[in-house]
Amino acid sequence: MKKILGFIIIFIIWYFISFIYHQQIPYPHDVIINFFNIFPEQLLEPTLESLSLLLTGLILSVLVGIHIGMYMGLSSRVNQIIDPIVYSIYPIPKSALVQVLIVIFASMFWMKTTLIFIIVVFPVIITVKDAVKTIPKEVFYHAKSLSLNKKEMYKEILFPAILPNLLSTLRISIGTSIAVLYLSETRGIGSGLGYYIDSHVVVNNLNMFTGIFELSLIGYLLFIGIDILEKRWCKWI
Amino acid sequence: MIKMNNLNFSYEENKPVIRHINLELDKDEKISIIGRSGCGKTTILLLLAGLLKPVSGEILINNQLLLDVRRQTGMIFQNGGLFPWKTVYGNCSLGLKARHTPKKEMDHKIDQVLDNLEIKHLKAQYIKNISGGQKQRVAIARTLVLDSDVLLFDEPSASLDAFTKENFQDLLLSIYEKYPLCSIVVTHDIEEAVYLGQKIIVMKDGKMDEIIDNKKLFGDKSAKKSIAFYEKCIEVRKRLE
Ligand SMILES: Nc1ncnc2c1ncn2[C@@H]1O[C@H](COP(=O)(O)OP(=O)(O)OP(=O)(O)O)[C@@H](O)[C@H]1O
Ligand SMILES: [Mg+2]
Repeated sequence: MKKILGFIIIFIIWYFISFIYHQQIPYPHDVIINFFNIFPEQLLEPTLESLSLLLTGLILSVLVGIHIGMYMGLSSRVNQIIDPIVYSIYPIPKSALVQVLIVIFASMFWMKTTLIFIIVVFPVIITVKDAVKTIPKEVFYHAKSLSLNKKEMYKEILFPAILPNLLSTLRISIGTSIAVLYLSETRGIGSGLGYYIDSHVVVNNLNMFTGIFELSLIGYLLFIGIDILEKRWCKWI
Repeated sequence: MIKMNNLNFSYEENKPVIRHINLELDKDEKISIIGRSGCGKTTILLLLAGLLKPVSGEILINNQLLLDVRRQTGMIFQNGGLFPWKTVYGNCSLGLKARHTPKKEMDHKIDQVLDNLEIKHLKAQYIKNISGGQKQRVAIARTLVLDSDVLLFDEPSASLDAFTKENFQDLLLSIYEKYPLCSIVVTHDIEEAVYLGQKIIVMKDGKMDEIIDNKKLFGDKSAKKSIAFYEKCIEVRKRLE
């Protein structure tokens, strides 16, 4: 119910702006109608491409980030080795990264996936590491006295302990990665939803806004997905 | 049942925390350990639980050298150490699950223990939703379901208010009646030490030199307001100084 109210507010503001700048900014209902009209022929393909990039990058970075983060959290030696690497790569401006990756990768798909990977993996590593470190030592003591094996240790202790923080970080990272995905899709040989939006800036205003509309829709759905996971897995919070 | 022979331990070199402890406890014995902050009380419990390794000397439990954690030794930590991501039931079942106990047997056992500790109604609750006293009970329950024969309590009532504390102490005594246990209660509280220990061990600087016999007053609720109880407290207090 509250979510619907949120949408209503967005649309009211949008209508208001469109009313003032009706030459440049189309009305919401026009965009939505246009969305359903052009989706099968024009939007489906770039959407699938962008979405598969985004998801591949996100999944890879979560898998890798959890492992590295846990090792760092559990062993101070591993932490000391990896810490400088993480902290020195993390602050590099993302747009500079795009340039570097374009040079390195022949495949555009892997260039963009790697970009998303790099953007998401570091926050994930840092979050997981910190979350592991805040587990009270008594929890480890008890786990040890139960003689849990490695698999049980991960499944019953470490994974549930980091999950809430991991999901918050993902929520933040999704926003950034969509923004950067757009950036990368407009560089070099463009493709995907970002390119679609960019190439319609001059040609077709309505289609451009429809593309933007979809991009934010994708972001919204990903957020909702994370909310659902949180409700299901983090009842204890 | 528990035997410590010339036990020594230090976290850092040349800073001994446990020094030359020799002590023997019977199968059914309940003792309390009292001592000032930093004298090594938590450390000695961790050693007895097999969670720390002695630097020298040895610990024998049931005539067996203690080399690793022992499934029947349960430790109840100062702050609970419960798993917040699990329900009360989940906290109790993990140890049994790790031992591949059949579900039916597991549930039966957990129900029984939770019932004995008067927290069966909290079975499906997450840890954040239960009170401090109830958390301590869950911490006990999750070790009792594993058929423990040694219980180690690290300041179990330190964070409880006076009334809950009394409740907790009486609960502990009722557990002693239901389950045959060797139990060690570490505490800051002199009255608690006298109420809950057949022997009171005064620990100082990692040593356990003073052992006060307390068979008469142990667990005797009616004696709690007596002169003898009061005198005992004063005796313990003097030895602490
Ligand atoms: N992990 C550790 N590393 C180094 N020194 C430690 C560690 N844990 C405890 N110590 C030191 O060992 C000594 C004994 O600690 P311990 O925790 O056993 O004391 P305690 O009697 O339980 O104190 P309290 O009543 O405050 O809980 C203290 O001087 C403490 O500073
Ligand atoms: Mg302590």
